[in-house]
Amino acid sequence: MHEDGWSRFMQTGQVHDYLAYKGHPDMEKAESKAGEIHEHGDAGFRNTDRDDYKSRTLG
Amino acid sequence: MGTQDFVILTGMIIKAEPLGEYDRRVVILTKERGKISAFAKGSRRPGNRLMAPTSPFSFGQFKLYAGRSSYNMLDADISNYFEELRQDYSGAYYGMYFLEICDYYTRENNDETGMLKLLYQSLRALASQSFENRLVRYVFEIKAIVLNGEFPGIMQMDKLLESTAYAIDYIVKTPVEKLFSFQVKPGVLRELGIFSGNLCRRVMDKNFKSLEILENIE
Repeated sequence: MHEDGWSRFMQTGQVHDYLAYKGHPDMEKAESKAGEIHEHGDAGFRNTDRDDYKSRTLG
Repeated sequence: MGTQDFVILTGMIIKAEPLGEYDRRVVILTKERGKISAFAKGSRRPGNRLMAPTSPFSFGQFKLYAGRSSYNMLDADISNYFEELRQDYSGAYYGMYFLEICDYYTRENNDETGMLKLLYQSLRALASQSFENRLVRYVFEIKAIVLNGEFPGIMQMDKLLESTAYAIDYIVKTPVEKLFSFQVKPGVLRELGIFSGNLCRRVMDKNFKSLEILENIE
């Protein structure tokens, strides 16, 4: 069951449980963002005020 | 049971475990009552309406019957399942780690609004693809410690770059809603990681299972 598979992965944290939830053994489809670095300008720290990410308060 | 026995709480499922053949026990971080646990009867039956709402990361309104010693979930209206994290196993591990920290830091009947907001915004940042996962993690760790009143400040011995010290100061002082609005260079990110790691070891007396896995996949 889809939701049960996800819950099992949430409990065990094992990669094979994630793959079972995804229903295939192909890890490439689980795109990892780890290792991505965003560099913006020369400053070490920079406010970006992104348009594509707007903060939303909780209701 | 009268209508006054029902409560509608806004929150997020931070833990779910199977119970019996078809049920689940969930832990919900709520705006109104802090961290609570609830039983969701039948939620593991195929097609049950509570099956998806009782999964970790589900955020929304939960209708609960407050019994003498526990809550029973009757219905849920989920506004965000954070589906993006389910497609990205690295993001899912970061998210699991955040859920574990929330479980560690929060208590029943405490005002945990700050932690709930931090969790929600951090998961949105993880899901947004606009932020490097490690930056989201360090911001979450430092801010969680600040919200729980355990941030000791920056020590002289930390010997940080000016930009790193500025970033930490920004994390400490900025409201959660506006927290994820900056990027850092790789050198600053590295220093933030060292600072946050040392801080967590100093103030959190727990080894997080998801963190061990996370550090293996990072």
